[in-house]
Order: sequence, then C-alpha cells, then structure tokens
Amino acid sequence: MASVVPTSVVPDSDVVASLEGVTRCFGDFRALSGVDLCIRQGDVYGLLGLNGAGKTTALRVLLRYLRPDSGVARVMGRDVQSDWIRVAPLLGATIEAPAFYPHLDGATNLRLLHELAGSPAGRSPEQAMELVGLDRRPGIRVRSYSQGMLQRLYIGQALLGAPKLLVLDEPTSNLDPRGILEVRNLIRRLRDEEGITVVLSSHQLSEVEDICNRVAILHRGRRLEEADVDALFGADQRWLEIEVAQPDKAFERVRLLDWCQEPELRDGRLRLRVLEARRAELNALLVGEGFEVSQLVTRRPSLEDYFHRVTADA
Amino acid sequence: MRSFALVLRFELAKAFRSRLTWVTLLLPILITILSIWLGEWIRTAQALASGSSSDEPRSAYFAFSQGVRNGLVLGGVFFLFYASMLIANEGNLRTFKTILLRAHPRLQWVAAKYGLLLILGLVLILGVVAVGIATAAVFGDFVDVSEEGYVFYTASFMTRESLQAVLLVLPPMVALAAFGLMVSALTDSTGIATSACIGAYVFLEALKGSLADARLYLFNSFMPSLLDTSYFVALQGFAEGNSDAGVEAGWILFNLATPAASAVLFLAVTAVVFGRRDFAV
Repeated sequence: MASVVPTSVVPDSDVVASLEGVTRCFGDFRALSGVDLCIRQGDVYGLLGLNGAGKTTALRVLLRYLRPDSGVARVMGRDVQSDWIRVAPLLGATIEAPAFYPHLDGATNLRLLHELAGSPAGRSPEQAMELVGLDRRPGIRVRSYSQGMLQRLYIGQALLGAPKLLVLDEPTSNLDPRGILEVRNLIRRLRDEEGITVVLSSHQLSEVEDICNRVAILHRGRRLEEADVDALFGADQRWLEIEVAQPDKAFERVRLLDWCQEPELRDGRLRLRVLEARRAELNALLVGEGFEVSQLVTRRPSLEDYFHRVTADA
Repeated sequence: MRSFALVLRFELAKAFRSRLTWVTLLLPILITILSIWLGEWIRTAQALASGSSSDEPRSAYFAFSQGVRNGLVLGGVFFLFYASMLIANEGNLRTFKTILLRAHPRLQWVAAKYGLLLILGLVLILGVVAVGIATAAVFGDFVDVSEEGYVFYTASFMTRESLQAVLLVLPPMVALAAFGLMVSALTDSTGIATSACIGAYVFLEALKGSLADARLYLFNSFMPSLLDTSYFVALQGFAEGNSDAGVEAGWILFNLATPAASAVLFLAVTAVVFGRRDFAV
C-alpha cells in the first residue's frame, strides 16, 4: 500500500500550501468533504480525479475564489481568506479556461497585470512572453489568438513577478505535442532552477507520472490518497515478468516456491513478486530445470493502473 | 493608498483602450452638436417662413440649454449602460479570476470601478457642456435675453443659472454610476445587467410621467434622480424669456440630497454583494 504522509508529520516550515479539513457544498451537492492536502516545498504536486471529483473546487478554495463551508486553506502558513494581501504575491495560477481582455494584445494584457501587482521584481511581461514562446508576435489582439496561444499566455501571466507557488489547472490542455513538451520542461526547470513549488491538476495521468513527485487522488469530494510517487511504485509494488518457453509448466514450478508471491499467467507470460535479491536465483533455477528464459523484466504499475484501482475500490 | 492607485490606474488603462468608452463619451457629444445645429436650422427656417427678422444678436443660451440637455440625456443612458457592464463584463469574460489573484482587497475594486465611472461621468458632462458652449456660440452670442430692447434676463443671470444647471447634473450622475455598478455586481451576464438597467430607466421614466407635476416632490423624495434634466428645462424657459421659468429652491435641495443618499445605498449593496460573492472561473 502507498505510504501516506499526513500533514501533521510534515514540518511546518516545509509546507508551502495546505487544505485542512475543507468542506464545500453547492446546494445539496457536496463538492469537497473534509479534504486535507499538504504541498511541500519543491513539490510538483499532481491533483488527480475523475470529472466532478473536486479538483477544481479544491484549487478554487486554495486560490480564494471560493469560501470553504468549513476548514482552512493556507499558503505559507497564512489563511488565504483572511490574509490574502500577503498571500497573493506568492502565487501564480491558471484555472480552467484562459481569460483575458480580448481587445488588447497579449503583451498589453500581461503588462497591465504586472502593473496591477505593483510591477514586482522578478519576471517581467516580456520575459514571461518569451518563456512561453509568444515573444515573436506580441502585437496580436487576444481575440485572434488560437487556443494554444491563449493557454501559453495564461501560463505566462502566472509566471509574472516571482511566485513561490504555481497552481496550474490542466496546464497542457489545448497545446500541441511540442507545446506540451515545452510546458513540462518549463515546470521542471522552474522547480529545479528557481525552487518554485507547483500544484497541477490534470487528466493526463502519464503527464502527472512524468513530472510530479507527489500526487493526491480525489474522488467524489474526498481525498482517497496522498503520497509520494516513488512510494506508490516502491519495491513492494514491482513485479517480475518472465517470458519463458512452456509458461504453464514454469508457472506450476514457481507456485511451489514459497518465496515467489502472487504468481500468475498473463498473456503467455509469467508474473510474480519476488525480492530483488532472489531474482538471479529464480532465473538460475528455471534455466537449470530446462526452461528457456528469453526475457526477465522488472515491471511497475503505471499511475493509470494505480488510479483506476484506487478509484474503483472507492 | 498605493494599492488603490494601482487598481484605479488598471481600470483607467483598460477603459482608455476600450472602444465602448470612446463611444460612450463621443456619441453624446456628437448628439449635442447635431441637436444644436438642427434646432437652430429649424428656428432659422421658421423665421424665414414667417418673414420675421431681427437685428438684435441672438442669445445662445437657448441653443446651449437645448443641446446640452439632449446630449446629457443620451449620455446618461450610455453612461448607465457602461456602468451596468463594468463588473458584469468581467464576470462574463471570466477575467476576475485573473485580476482577483492580485493582492488587492475586493472593496478596492468596487471603489476603483466607481472612481472610473465618476471620472468618465465628469469627462462626459464637461465634454457635452464644452461642446454645447462652442456650438451654440457659432449660432449666437451669450448675451442678455431680450426682445426689442427689453431685457428679460441679463447675461450674467443666465450664466449663473447655466452654471447651476450644469452643477446639478453632478449628483444624479453620482447616483447613476452607483446604480449601474450595483446592477452590474449582481450578475455575470452583460445582457441581464443592461436589460435590468434599461428596465429600471423605462420604469422610472414612466413613473415620472404618471406623476406629472407631483413627480418633482415624490420622485426626488424616494427615487434616484437617474436622468433628471429639470434644470435645463428651466434654463430653456429663461432663454425664451418666460417669466414663470425656474425651479423652486426646495427642489434643488431634494435633488442634491436624494441622489447622494441613493448613491450611498447603492454602493453599500454593491460592496456587500461584490465582497461576498463567489466568482465563476
């Protein structure tokens, strides 16, 4: 089972943002139900869930668009509801679809937003435009932008100044494959070079698996899991896949070994769990007994497997 | 204070770059010019048709008061639409989700948007009045209102009354801005906001009409003086040499106090609604 790190055991100084027991209802519909999330310094934190799981609602509470019915959202230890003035300069965010003034060009939109924030030190509008690849055509009005350009501009506005925490809701939606790659690389670079903590929600599980070091799974307004990705796919989650001639006989043979766990035949291949230290021993045993082993690979579950298993159980 | 200045500057910068702002400002000015020009053209044609002529210089006060009144009525309607869209349009475009992420209290947004409206309203009124003076001066002089040597009203009296009429437009504008902003804060739909404002305007106009002469008492006592131009009607009466023109001093007090009180009420509602509401993202 994944190791879950409760908020209480993480030192306060490491926690960049958190939701603590947040409940939020829309009429009779309970969008969030006592949700706890803990985002640590340097995390690229993935928020996963099916449609209607509460991902965007959780981000809206974190960004103070919504008041929680109960519970608290904090950034750097400050309550976002009561201390927004000090929280806001620490944040950059995109949520849902991009929104800009359509009669203005992209550069002007960013310049106005930068000035609105008091022209803080850090990334200028020009630098943000360059970072998201929109610097070559700054004079085009936003109403003429493609969806991809809008998404890039939206990420650009989140990067203005010097945010410590980036909240990105579906950051690669509407982007072409190259744009997706660029945004993923940008997120890694921001974390590695500038130490920015990133929270992102995505339906692209492979994307989350690729760039996130920590994930939370929301389902029907509840948090099912919150764990380090490494912990999800630790040694106890891996299995050995063996391609062998006469797999049926090999299967019968390994069933007799008490140190080989959960053996099964799938798609003509033998799958089982075995300690890493005994893998060579198993290979030698099979070869020694005349089984022709052509491939022996260690596999791990994908985040997609894990996600579907957890949400199905729920 | 710096925070508020940033928000107000943001609003002004946006408004300056918006076509709607320029339409709101320039169309009433254009109507003022056209109104004066057409009015004078019709009067000249009527005079020629009746064969009357006079060597006395024509007083420009009538043309001025007529043109400015028409310009301000249209300007008031446009201004009301503009105010009603100011918050609703941000909701419609979803741009609140971007700007509210910046470190400014929500009340500052209400204050800045109201500040923008007051500045625009002031520019609108001054623009209409300035153009009204300039255009009226083309067709006549700002001289005594007289006929065959008999002076009904002196130029200094007319100037004083004109100034009072212009100044008395300011309180209704203050209430108008607050009313539009309040409606705007209640919805994310510009269509609903403008429809509600048109509805309110028509309703108030109908109420004015149905109350006849009594409207000046009742209207001023419980309604916002949205687009009250009574003083320009009075000014037109002076400019025509009517001896019974003018308004009672009590009405002036009502029209100072009622819009101010209305504006405070509307702004309070706006602040509460805007301060507490959740925004669509």
